[in-house]
Amino acid sequence: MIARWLIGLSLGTLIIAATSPWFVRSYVPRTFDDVRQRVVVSPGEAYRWRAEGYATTSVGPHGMMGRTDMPESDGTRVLTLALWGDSQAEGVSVADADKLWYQLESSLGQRAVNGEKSGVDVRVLPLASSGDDASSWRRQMPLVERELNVDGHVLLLCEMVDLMGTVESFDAPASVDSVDLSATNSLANWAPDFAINAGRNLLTDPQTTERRRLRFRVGPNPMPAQPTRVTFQKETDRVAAEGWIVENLNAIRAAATKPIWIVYAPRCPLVMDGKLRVDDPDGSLWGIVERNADSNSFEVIDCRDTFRDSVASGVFPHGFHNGRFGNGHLNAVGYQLIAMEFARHWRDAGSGKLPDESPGVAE
Amino acid sequence: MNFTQLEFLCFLILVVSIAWTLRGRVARNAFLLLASYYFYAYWDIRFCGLLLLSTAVDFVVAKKIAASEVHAIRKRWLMCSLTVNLGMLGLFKYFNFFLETAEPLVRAIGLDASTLPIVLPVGISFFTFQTLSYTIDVYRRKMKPTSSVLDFALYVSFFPQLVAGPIVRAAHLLPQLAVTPSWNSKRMYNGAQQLLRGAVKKVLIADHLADLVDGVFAGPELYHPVTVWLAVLAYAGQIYYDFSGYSDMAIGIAKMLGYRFPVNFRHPYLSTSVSEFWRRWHITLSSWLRDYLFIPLGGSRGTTWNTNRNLLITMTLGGLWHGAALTFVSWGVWHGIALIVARCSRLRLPRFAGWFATMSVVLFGWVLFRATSFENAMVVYRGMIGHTTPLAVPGTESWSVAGAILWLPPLPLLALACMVVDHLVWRTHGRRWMRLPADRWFSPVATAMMIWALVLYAPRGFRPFVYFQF
Repeated sequence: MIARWLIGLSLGTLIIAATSPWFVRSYVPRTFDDVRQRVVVSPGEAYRWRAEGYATTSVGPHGMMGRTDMPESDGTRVLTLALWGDSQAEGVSVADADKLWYQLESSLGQRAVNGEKSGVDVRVLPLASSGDDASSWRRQMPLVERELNVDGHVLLLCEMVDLMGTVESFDAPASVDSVDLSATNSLANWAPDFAINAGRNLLTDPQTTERRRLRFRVGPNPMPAQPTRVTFQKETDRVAAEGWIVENLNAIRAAATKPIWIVYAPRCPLVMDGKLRVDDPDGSLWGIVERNADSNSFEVIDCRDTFRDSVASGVFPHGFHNGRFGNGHLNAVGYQLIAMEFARHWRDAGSGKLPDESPGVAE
Repeated sequence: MNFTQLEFLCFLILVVSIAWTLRGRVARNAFLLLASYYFYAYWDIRFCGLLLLSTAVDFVVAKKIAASEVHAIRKRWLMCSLTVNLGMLGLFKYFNFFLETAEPLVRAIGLDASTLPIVLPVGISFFTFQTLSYTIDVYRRKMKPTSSVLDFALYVSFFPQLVAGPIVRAAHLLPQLAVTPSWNSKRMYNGAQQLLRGAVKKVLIADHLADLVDGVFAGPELYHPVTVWLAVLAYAGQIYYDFSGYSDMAIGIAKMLGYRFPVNFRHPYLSTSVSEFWRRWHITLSSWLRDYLFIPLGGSRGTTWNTNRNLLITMTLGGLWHGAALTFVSWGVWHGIALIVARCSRLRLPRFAGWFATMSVVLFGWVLFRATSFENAMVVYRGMIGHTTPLAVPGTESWSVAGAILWLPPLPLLALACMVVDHLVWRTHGRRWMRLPADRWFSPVATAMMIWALVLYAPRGFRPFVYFQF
């Protein structure tokens, strides 16, 4: 009986292990990238995502998500753009061919052929990472300009809070706890994904993803504060927020020497609590970015109207059928709309901010 | 403490382990009583006073009733118990509802109609019905009052059934508490399996269906009629698997501790008439309402008019028992009317037609049950017949049926499929198909898969059992 149960339990576990890739994300080792001076997903890995969408992302050099090679020129001039942002720009929810960097490259490539910059090959380096904000972007911008010959930066801004962090100076070089990284990597290499995911579900709080703390004391239990979007209690908070945004924009400008496009693509329209919210609650904060764009020589592109038009025709730029439509991360349609809006802006406003003679990585 | 929380798993392992190591009935019952009060205090220690009050009143009242042969005195004591228990229920559950309903009248006579910040104690509807059944049974001389206050206190507060049933009658549980259960490994195994099965029903089926239901009911006007229909069907599945999952867990835990609880569900969606539905749905409540409300009102002994009146009163109060809102009352009235129509028409439908008619009544009723208000229910009904404006944006094009289904999350759809398969297989195999005998090869395989699936595929975020609010 014991042997039967041991074999049966093992068989049941094997069935779960075999079927889990349909529903469970993968856990891949990470490495410290000398160019970007940060920990990235190890190049050559395949990163499977299942929380929203069913996509597998190939990881390229410098931890680029979806791009497996560095741009090369076949004789034409190459303009290299670095794409920055958070998980919305990273795009692990969609296939590599649907990711923003790829859509931008396709759209801009066409424009470049037909437009003023005929003969220019535009290449986009996907350098966005989940959880990144202005601080991490401006730390890496000078590094990639120098090491990867980047000609311009595209900054996908989906949450205004990403421009509201404290501006710190980066005097000390970035470092990494190699012991911690090696322990995490050995777990990712050794343990099957479903077992890691099970452990994570058991050990972390589902709401906060922090370490789970069991409560055994009697109630009543005070309700935890719910995280909310950017809200202001007083006018002074709003003034302070404006200050933070301006400070971050100035810091980004100071960090980069190449042209910067800021693309605003918030979760708007949004389906929340069963209601369709068309207005952007952070619209006034975006106004600050627009007002400060000229003084910082930024180009700004607003995707909200494009998103609204798309939703009005019944197609949501956000959400997945295994998540919630109208909410969550950008989907393939969302990326396509952003790329088209960017290409339209490039065509209308001209890409004069780009250098006429790009050094290009292949030259 | 929720049965699906990790804290509860720790609590259960500790309680079961200690309970089986304690020798002697008194020590065991005292320990289980302590554990049950801790279980209740986990929500709010202040409400333990209500449990104590209900226990003390009915213990004393039952003794007084049994000690007297004078009808008037017995009745007076019974009224005392009814007043305390229903008064408690009325204050904590219905005070604000009645005040809101009667607001114009209250204002008209110049009184302040502002509601009180009353918190509904978890499980109050269940334990007051249990204590009431005890006192009424003693009054009716169906049982003798227990002489052990410890046993009675444990009967009222026994943690597996304290907050959401099944509503276990005193005549069923008190005799079991009066003896020390003997260890039985097969019963322990069956109890653990039923607990696991209940968790799967709740976490993997009901909670995933809830994702779909919550989204659509929050804004039904945004959705295609096919999506609205699927959401209503999903709610039928959610409430069934949520509550029957809880009942399975409660029955399983009781088995692990050596006690038997009554069955609460028998796949009600296979019913071919509304009356059969009520013999399969929340059986312990249906039988309680029959024995302590419908029959005392006269049952079906009088004229047709009287029987119909009694049915309608019973079902209306049954609806009110579920929640202090007019939508619940309407749900009760709706089922009452359906029972009356079925009874009066004496129509014998073919099996499939009967099932279809029953499910139509039930699904229509669930919309009222789930809706946050009448307005919300009306929007859902309009959505079901195609009167929605998906997305509610000027220039919107309606979605295609394929699109409406394509956008639905796969796990709720999988849960819906499980619900259909469960009912189809149960129809042919009955209760056997859910059993996993320890000596069969597939039992450990299924057990491992259920445990892994619970850990891996539970929806993120905590969802209390639906019936906790009642």
